[in-house]
Amino acid sequence: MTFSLASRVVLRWSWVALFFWFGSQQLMNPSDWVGFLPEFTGYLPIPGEMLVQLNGLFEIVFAVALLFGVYTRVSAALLAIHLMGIAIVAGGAIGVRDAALAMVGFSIALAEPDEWTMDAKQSKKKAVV
Amino acid sequence: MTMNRNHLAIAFGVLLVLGGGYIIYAGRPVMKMQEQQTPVVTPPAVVTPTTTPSIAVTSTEPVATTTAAAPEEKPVTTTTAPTPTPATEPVKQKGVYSMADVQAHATVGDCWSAINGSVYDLTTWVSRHPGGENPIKGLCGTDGSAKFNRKHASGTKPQSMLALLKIGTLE
Repeated sequence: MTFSLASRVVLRWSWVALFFWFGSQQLMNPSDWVGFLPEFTGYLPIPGEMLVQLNGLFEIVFAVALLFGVYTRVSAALLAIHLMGIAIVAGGAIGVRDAALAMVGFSIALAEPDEWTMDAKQSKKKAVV
Repeated sequence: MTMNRNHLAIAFGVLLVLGGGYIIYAGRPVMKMQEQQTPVVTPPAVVTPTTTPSIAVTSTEPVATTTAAAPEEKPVTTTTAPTPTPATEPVKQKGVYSMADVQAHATVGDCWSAINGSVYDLTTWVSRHPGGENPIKGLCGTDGSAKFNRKHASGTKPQSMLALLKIGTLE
């Protein structure tokens, strides 16, 4: 395993851990996260807790997809856009931090999937065939 | 058959749809209200108003004595004072509530609050409040004017949102 591969795997899995932790927390304790919802969500005909849980589910599903490297670039791009949206809405110091984290996702999306992804395995198979 | 990324992607898609469906189904406000349903409080018995004042009742009851040597048992006379009963109940205006009415709706599943002279049904707002449930829970069944004004006095959005939940005025 080269350093180059290790760096990409570590980057991807770190990002997976980030979304997995936040997603699971939102699914299990939605009421703790309702306060972070932007004000406009209060006007939606959806309870705040439900919105938080749906957000958590989205993050977990795409984090798992990223973990296995299933459509790595698409998954990373979706999560990055999602996080960038949160950063814009949150603003301030939290917004800067989240925007920087979102850029990590964009870098994963822009790069070729590493060898430990299912995408890479699939493309290898195709090349052999 | 080997598992490839398309199979996994389909599985994740199904998980997303089913999970989302379950969250929406289980998180419906009506489900929450059923869970938090408080036992039905039976209203107090209605006293039919009487037009004639009740007459003082005089009852003679023997007092139980502890000593057998008591020569005579004196009857004790107790007088029940006539209780004034209202001739007619005040007719309640529609949409006008008393503080007692508000206090009767003090649960999360049935949450009323009086704010700045108006009465609001905040039941559906409890779980949708951007600042979390707790601040709204604290308003249920109370006069929440001070709390609301302290937090949202300058905000136009909270004021307009609150207006949508108005059900009447405080008498």
